[in-house]
Amino acid sequence: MDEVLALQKENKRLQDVVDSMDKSARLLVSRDLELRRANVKLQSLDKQKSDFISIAAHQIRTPLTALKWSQQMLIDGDFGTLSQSQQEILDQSQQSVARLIKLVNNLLQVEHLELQQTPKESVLFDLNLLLKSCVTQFTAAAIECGVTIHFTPSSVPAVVLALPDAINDALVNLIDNAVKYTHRSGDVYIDVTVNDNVTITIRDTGIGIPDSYKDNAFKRFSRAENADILDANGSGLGLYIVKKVIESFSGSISYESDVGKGTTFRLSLRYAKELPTV
Amino acid sequence: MDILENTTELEKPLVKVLVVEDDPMLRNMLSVKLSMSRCPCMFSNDGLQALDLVSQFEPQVILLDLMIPGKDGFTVLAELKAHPSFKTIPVIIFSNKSGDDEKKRAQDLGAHSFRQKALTDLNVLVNELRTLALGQTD
Repeated sequence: MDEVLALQKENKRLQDVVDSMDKSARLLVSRDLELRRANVKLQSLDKQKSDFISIAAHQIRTPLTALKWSQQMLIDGDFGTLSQSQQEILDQSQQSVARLIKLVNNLLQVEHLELQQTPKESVLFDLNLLLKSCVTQFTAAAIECGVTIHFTPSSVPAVVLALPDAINDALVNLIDNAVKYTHRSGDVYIDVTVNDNVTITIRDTGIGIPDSYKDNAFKRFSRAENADILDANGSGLGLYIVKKVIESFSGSISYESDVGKGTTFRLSLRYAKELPTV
Repeated sequence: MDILENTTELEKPLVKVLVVEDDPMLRNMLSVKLSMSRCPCMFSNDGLQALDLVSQFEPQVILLDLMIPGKDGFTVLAELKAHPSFKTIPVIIFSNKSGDDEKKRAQDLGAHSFRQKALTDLNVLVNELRTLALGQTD
């Protein structure tokens, strides 16, 4: 009799355990459903935010375009010759508009990079040619800053598989920094070497990056405390964008710096050996 | 020196440009700049009348915005490239959208190039228009 009672008791206990597990399973299914719904809602909100930023950026660019063009036409003398002071004021105004356009483009690029991790439509191209074009683009700015750019391409074509426009943006950011943060009579050396990877080295003799900034160098909206010495208007997005772009093509970027002596950035992308035959 | 420059300017051949652009400020500025650069131009405010204006005006180059009322720039581009008489007219996409997807789509549809308006130097643009129409630069 005692054995029967004990078995009944054990049976009841097991039934309670089964009931409890069943309840937990139902709860888990319900929570899973809730999480899936929340995830879909978050993705939708993220898409809305991205669309909003894209449309807002587009709408901001249009009046900025009108400002840029009207300033350019005035400076070009399309409406008559300007006095020196008028020219100077317009030059400054034009620089402000250029800065705003750059900021809007950077914000849009950050949004784009965070949404789309895998670049599409990569092509094979020679980084030497892209860098040559970047260096040409900076010739006037470098002369104005009293900085000399020395460019040494690799002896063989530095072919990589990537998006040329995106890599161009990254290189322009790095060269712009090198020129901007180097005092007059300084130098910027750009070298390309090819082994298993294509490595671009951009070395300047500028103000350098303090050690205290090292952990934040590639973070968003982050600027070294000494950056204002030569440029008080940076947004702190440039290096963040550069790192995101390079890593999206499985590349890497690093730097070393001595305050007061200069900074060397190295970025590497996998060497693709040959350009496609046409 | 002014006379010499003006003479040189007047000797440049005309380049007819159709601009499809809905923003009145930008239209106004492009009108002034192109006229001064010996590029007679006609404007379409939307995508609907663009093809009719191509027939009437017979432009040598087309500047085409993407976000325009009536019919978007991609649709206009596709129709131009499908038209036996218009398909060889070079089209420059001229937009303040600048995503990789838009650039790729424009290229696939046969656009000659893609320019972001906010980053465009008008003198460089005029040069490109001349190069495309006449195969020469200033």
